[in-house]
Amino acid sequence: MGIVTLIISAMLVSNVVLVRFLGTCPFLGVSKKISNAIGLGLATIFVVFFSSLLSYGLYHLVLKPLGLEFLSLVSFILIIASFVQFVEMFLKKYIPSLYRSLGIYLPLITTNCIVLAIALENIGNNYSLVETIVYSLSVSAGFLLVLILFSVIRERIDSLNRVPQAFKGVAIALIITALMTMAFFGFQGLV
Amino acid sequence: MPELVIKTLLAIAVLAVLVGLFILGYLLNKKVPRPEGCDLEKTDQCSQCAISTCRLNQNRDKDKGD
Repeated sequence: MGIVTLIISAMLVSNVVLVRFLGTCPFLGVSKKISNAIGLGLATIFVVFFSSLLSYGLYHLVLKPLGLEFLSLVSFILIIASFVQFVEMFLKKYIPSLYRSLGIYLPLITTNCIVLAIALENIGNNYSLVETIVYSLSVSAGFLLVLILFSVIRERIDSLNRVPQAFKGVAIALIITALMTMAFFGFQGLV
Repeated sequence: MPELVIKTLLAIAVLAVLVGLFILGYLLNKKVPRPEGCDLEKTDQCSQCAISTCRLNQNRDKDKGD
């Protein structure tokens, strides 16, 4: 698969939230404000990218040579959790301004299933290092894209204040998600 | 048979290293104080998300009662 095909496929055709239904918890939870959505999306890109690289290295340099491939799942979970701890510590100590804006999202990212899914898929699909980098960046960029789109729609709907009482809150959010999912299914067959 | 034992020991060693790494990260992270203006846990003012299971969510107890 070519790099461009991989990018389009990961971002749009097989969008991680709307087509594969991963990471729906932060998608619904942290999309009330655009600023929060951008913060979480960027933090997710950062964590997904580096945890994918670490998982890739661990698998190809340690687990595979030792014949311990069956440990992939548990070791990736530990790698991701440890990485988030170190990132949080680094931000607290050296970039407090970034920690102030992202700090609240970092613990949430540990439980985001997108991070683990991408680490496992990179191994499962036998991606090379370049493909791993491109794939992890594209998938998390797709997450950021739908998160921003969704938060823009939600803010606009909230500001109009014309939603019937019965549809307010989660109900209207799920309806918007369904409509967005149908729109994204229009990308099927693109690659 | 010895091969299986070696593999098991290696698996335990790898897991022990990873768990140790996580514990080290957790302890070091706990030691580093939060920068000023990040005392969110104490202020109980968080309204960033709608995740009802979060301990900072003000509506958590209200949701439980429903």
